[in-house]
Amino acid sequence: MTNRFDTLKRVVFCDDFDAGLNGWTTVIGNYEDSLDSMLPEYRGWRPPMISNLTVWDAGTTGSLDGCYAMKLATRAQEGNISHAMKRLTWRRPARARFECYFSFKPEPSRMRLGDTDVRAVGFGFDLQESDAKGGAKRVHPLVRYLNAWKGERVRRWQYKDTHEPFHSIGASGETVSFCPYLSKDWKDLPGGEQRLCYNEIATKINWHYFRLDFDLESMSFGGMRCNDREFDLSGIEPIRIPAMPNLWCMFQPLIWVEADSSRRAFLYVDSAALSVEEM
Amino acid sequence: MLRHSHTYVLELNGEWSGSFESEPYEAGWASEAVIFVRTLRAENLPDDARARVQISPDGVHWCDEGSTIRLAPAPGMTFCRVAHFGGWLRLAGDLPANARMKVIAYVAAKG
Repeated sequence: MTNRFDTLKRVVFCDDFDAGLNGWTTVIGNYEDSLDSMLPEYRGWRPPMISNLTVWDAGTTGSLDGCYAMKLATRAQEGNISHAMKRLTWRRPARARFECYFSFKPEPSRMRLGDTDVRAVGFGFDLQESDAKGGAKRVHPLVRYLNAWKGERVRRWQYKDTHEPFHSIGASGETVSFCPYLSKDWKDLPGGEQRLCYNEIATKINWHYFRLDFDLESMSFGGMRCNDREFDLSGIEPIRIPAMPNLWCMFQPLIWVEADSSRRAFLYVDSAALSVEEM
Repeated sequence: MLRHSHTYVLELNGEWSGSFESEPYEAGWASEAVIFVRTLRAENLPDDARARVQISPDGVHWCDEGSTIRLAPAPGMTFCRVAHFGGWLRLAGDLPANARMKVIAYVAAKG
């Protein structure tokens, strides 16, 4: 399966979702003593599931290779997000590459085009430097494809380099939370316009290739590719915040999808690979 | 080969009142499931309150499967077993006007 990807020297994982979720799980907003202490923006986020891409008119589509894909589904609510990440830690501060084959579609609950029902799909990492490094940072390199905004077609890539303030959770003083995925403070990536193959109606599902490179040594972006388009990320910054007390060497690729309307937004991932190469 | 198993959290601290439906869960890969409902807190919930298991061929159009789950009127857990459910599962119910509850609901599926 790795030959469908352009992996670096060492493949950390290459997941095909025909045999389960392979450790991909959702982020849960932090809480203390009660789930009511969770930040409102995290409430109701749905975990990933395994889908055979069945639609009402054509039946089962299946995945790119095999029967099943990972599926993220939002609630039927504008601005709702579904998110998945795989939780690793890193051995050496190498160049890292995340690749996947993905598709996004709205829930086909009405017989209309529906190409503005999915607001955005996002990709990135949640990282932290080593405890051996002075002035270590937690770093969030995040990019998203803004497909639509309030019903209008947009179709461009964006990034985020600022973060929300931390909120204290509970009374112990040991738990904080913030949510970097919301539709706030995103910036347009220069030259980031791209029209993808939506394909006419909500039940036709086409796969797209995505790749994101990030250097764990300098904690800076490398390149990004989606289908036929290579994007220069050398001029943009990730989110950087002071290191947190229990996240050392955290290495988490992540994806998410956000709804733009009162219809569920779906993000499918047929397969995903993480590879690294020392500089 | 070990069987596949997956526990999906249908609702986490979700609130049910009036006529409600849980989010859908795709389980075409599974042949059996146990659905759990954990009551975190409840107000004015009658002792005979129940949720209905629903199934769907497409995740959009739904019908009752026939199984029901008793809903605990105080903190506690209830469950039901289902099999031969096709592609999608969810829960639905109708609570009296003044009743509401906070729940965690799971589908523990195997295939």
